[in-house]
Amino acid sequence: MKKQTALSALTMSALAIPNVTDAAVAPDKKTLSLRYTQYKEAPMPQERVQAVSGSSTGRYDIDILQFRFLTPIQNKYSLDTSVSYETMSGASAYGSSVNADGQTEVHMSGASIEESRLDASLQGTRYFKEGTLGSSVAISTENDYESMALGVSGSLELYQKHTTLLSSLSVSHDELSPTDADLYQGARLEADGENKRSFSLYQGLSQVLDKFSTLQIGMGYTHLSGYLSDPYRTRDDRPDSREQSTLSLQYRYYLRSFGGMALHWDYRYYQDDWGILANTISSSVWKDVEVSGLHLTLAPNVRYHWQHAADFYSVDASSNSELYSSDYRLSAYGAVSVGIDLQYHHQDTSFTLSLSQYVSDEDWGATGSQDTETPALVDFTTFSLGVDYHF
Amino acid sequence: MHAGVHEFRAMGSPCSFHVFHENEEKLNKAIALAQQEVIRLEKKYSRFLNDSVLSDINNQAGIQSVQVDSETAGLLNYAALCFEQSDALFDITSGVFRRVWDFKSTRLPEQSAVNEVLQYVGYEKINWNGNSIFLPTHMEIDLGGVVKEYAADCARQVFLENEIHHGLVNLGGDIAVLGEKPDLSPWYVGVRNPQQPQQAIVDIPLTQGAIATSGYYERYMLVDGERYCHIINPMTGWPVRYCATVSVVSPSCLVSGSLATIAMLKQNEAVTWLEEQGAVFFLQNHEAQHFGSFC
Repeated sequence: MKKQTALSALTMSALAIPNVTDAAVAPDKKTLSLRYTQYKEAPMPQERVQAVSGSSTGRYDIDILQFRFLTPIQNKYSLDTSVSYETMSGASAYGSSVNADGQTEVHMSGASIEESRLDASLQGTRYFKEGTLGSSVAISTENDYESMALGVSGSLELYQKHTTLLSSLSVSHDELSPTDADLYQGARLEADGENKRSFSLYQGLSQVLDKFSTLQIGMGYTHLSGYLSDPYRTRDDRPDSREQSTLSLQYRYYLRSFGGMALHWDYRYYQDDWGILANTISSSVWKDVEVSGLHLTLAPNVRYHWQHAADFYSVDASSNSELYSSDYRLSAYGAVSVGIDLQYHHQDTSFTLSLSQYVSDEDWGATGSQDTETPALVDFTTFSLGVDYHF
Repeated sequence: MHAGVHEFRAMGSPCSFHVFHENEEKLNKAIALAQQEVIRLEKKYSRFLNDSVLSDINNQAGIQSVQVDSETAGLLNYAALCFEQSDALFDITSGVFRRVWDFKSTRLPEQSAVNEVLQYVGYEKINWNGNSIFLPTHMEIDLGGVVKEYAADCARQVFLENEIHHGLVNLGGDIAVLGEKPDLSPWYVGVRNPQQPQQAIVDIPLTQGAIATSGYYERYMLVDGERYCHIINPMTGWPVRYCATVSVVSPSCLVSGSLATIAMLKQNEAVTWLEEQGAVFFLQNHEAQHFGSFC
C-alpha cells in the first residue's frame, strides 16, 4: 500500500485546525480506559447495632472494575462505550428502632450479602459546526434488579463559542425481583415484578466570563414513579411518585499567582416533594507540580452536603402513619468528604489515583436539624486507580 | 468593480491585500476584518509579547503544563505531524538556536556552544497530549514557521466569508489566492532570484490555492565566503545547505510553507522527497540548477 504523502497528511491536519469561530471538535484519538475503585464503609459503633445473628458491625464493601473505549468516527462522530462490573459484600441495615435505653439502634442483616452488578452503556455523538447532538442507551443488571435507560442530549455554541447551551432528556425503566421473596414474604413478595420509571430533563448554560473564568448554570427536573420503597427493609412505605428539582452552579477560575492553578467551585441545590431539601458545596484546586523529575497534577478537594429529612422519615417503628421510612438517606444530616486526585501523564498514557474519606453526622446539618436520630449513617473511604491510553 | 490595495506591516514582514468587489464599502469592511485577523494571530503567537499564548507556554517551561485552546491545539497537532512527516527535521523547538547563531555578526559559534544548545532541542522531549503542553526546563517552542502561513489562510477565509472572490493575500511572500483577477486572468507570483532578490527567476500562475517560499537569502551571514542561512538542522545545530530557494503550491498556504521548509531541511534529498509527495514546486539548488513543475 502506498504510504500517505506528507502533502495529503498535512493538508488534512491543516483543515482540522479550528479557527476561533469554529465549534465543537470531535476527539481525534481513541481512548482506552481501565479503572478500579474500592468503596469501603466503616463499621458501625457496636452499641448502636442490633444484629440478627452474630454481631456483625461491618457494612458494605464494593469493588468496581470499569472499562471504557472512546473512538472518533470520520471526524464528525464519536462512540463512547463503557462497561462496569461491581461486586458488593457485607451487611446492610434493614431497619432502625429505639431500644430499652431510649437510644436508637440499627438492625443489621447478620448474614453477609454477596452480590454483583453489570452496567453497560453506549453513547453516540455527532459534532456539528455549531454544537453536538448525542444519544445514549444504558442497561444495568443484578440478580434482583434490571434497569434500562435511554437519553438524548445536545449542545449549541453561540457568540464565538463564548456561550454554550446544554440540554438533555432521559427516561429509564427499572424492574424489581427481590431475592428470597418466597422465604421472607411481605414487602419482598409484594415488590416482586414491580417497576419504577423516571423522566429527567436538564437545561444548562455555560458562559466564558473572561480569559480566566467560566460559569455554568443548570436546572434539572426528574419525575419518578412506581415502586419507590426499599423491599429489604422491615417496614418501608414511601409515596409512589417523587418530583425532584435541582439548581446547580459551576465556577472555574484560573489563578495566575503561585505558578498558576485552576480553582473549581460547585454548588447544588436540591428539593423534592417528599420534603427533602439539600445543599452541596464542593471545591477543588488543580495544580501541576514536578516531583523529582516526574510531572504530576494534584487536585485536593473538599465537599460539604447537608439536608432536611423527608416528611415521613422516622425511627419509631411503632408509628402507624401511612408513610414511613427509617432509611438514613431520607434523614436530616450533614456530611463532609475530603479527597485528593493525583494524575501522572507519560506520553500517550495517563495514570490517576484518587483517595477520599466521607464522614457524616446527624448534627452536622447547617439548617433544618431535627430531634429524630439517624443511627445508620455511613462513613466510607474510596480508593481508585485508573489508566487512560490515547492512540 | 472596485480594487482595494491595502499595505501594512505585521509579523515582521511587509503585508498586502489585493482584493476586488463591486461594493466599495463591503470591500473596505472586509479588508479591515482580514487585517484584524492577521493582527489577532500575530498577538496570540508572538515570541515578543509576554502575554501571548506562546509566551504563556514558554514561560512555564520546567514548571507546569499549560492547557491550550482548540486553535492552538490544532496548530500543535499540525506541528507534531510536520515533525513526524519530516523524519524529525521540522522541529518547533529549534528556536533556541538563536542563542548561539547571530546572523547579524559574521562570527561562527563555537562547537561547544552549539552542543550546549542542542540538548534543549528535540520535539520528542516535550509532552503534548492534545490538551496541554509541558516543556522541560530551558526549552521553548516557536510557531514562527507556521503562523504567518496559517494567518494567510485565515485572512483569505475572512475575505471569502465576506463574499470577496477575486484577490490575493500576501504576508511577507506567503501568498493565498482568493480567486482569479476580475478579468478572469491568473495572478502571476514571481519567485525571487536567490542571487538577486529584486528579480524574479520564474513567474507562477495561480487562480486558487497558495504558494509559500523558503530560501537561504531571507536571513544569512557570509563567513569566509561561505553562506550560513537561518534554517538550522535540529540534528547538528548547523545551517542547512543545498537548496537556494524552494516554493511549493498547494491548496493551503500553511501546507505550502511547511513543505518548503521541510525541503530546505532535507538538503540534497529535497527534490526526491518533494517528488515523492506529489508536490507542485519550484526548487533552485546552490549550483543554480532548477527542478520542479515550472522549469
